[in-house]
Amino acid sequence: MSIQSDAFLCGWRVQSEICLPELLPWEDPGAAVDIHIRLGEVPPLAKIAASTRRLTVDDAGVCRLEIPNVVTFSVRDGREIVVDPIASPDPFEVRNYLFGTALGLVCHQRGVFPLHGSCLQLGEWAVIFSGNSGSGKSTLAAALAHRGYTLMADDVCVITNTDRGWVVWPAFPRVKLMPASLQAIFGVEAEQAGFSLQGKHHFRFEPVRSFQMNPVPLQAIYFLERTQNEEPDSIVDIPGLKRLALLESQIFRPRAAAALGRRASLFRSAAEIAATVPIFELRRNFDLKRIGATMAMLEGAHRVPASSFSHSG
Amino acid sequence: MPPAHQGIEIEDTVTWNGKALASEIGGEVVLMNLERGYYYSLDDIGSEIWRSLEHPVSVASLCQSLAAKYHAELSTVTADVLTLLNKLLEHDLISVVGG
Repeated sequence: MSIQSDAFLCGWRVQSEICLPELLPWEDPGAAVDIHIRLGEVPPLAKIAASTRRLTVDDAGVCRLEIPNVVTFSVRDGREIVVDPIASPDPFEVRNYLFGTALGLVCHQRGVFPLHGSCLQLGEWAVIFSGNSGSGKSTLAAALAHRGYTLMADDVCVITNTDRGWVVWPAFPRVKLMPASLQAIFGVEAEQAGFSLQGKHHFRFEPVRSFQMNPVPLQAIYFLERTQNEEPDSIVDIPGLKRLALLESQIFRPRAAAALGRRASLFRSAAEIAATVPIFELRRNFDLKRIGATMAMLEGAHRVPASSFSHSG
Repeated sequence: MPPAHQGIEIEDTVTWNGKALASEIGGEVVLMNLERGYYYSLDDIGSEIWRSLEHPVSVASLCQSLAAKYHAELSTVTADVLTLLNKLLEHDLISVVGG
């Protein structure tokens, strides 16, 4: 097989034998390849040291991830992914797992912190919206991207500690949305929206000119909470221990991390993040008609001039 | 069922039991019991006591050094330390050496 994609993902150069149209092309031909993705058979592991529902891990930390009726992956050293799809795969679905759990495994093998959430660039800073599934992360991210801010990641935010503090590595400019959000934010009916999977439509922001390939300093993490009735939106400080517990609760693929022996290390990272990155609860109403007020509140909190980003659409 | 602990006394020697993950946020020790999944935070003095338990230490000498350092009554310090240590034991974060 030949290379179908030479692309950027979270700062890594990815060369892949399967086409990865979601990713932006890699720009520096002289750089070393960080992650090789190839097609091949993925037999069961010879020696299983740990396992979860779909994952087995051997004592060298090689992972075998089996998604029934879709694809099986082997992920090794955070550097090599072997993709073994079923006979007539939906390539879109295969990529959804590649950019989901398989990416999570790469993160845990490489020892970076993957936080479940969506990330936007507001001004010079990255801001992460985290929280449980269904808390409105992607909807808020899509609304902010539609307003003109740069979407950095949806679902998995790769963050690392540098001498400049914690930074977020951009993934790719795609967001997964439920039909109601799609309609409310973009005025697009579900039938017109192209790809959908598990009830969510995958929406790529075009043009992607503002998408950058550099890590962005992390300014704040918001954990989303849904409010009831007439409670106004608010940004609430969180005490230190709860910050840690919330961060830990949103580590991407925590059972895989534990199987890879990453539990204690992730706890230490979460504590460092809790100690150094401002973390808040963002209490907001789910009424999509009120999302403009939520965004204005965030723009005020981050002192980004709303007018310069306002979208014509 | 694990055997019920008898409680920590002044003559005991105690140390971390290896079941807790510990880190610090703003100078305060935060703990998680890996098996139970609970989180705990300790105040300044509690954090200092936690750090001193990395290696086995006798409760009596721990109390004496804290009383000297903070110019406090040994009886008061001992009562406070025993309260904290027994809470840590109850939450399965430390153990009694040879106990």
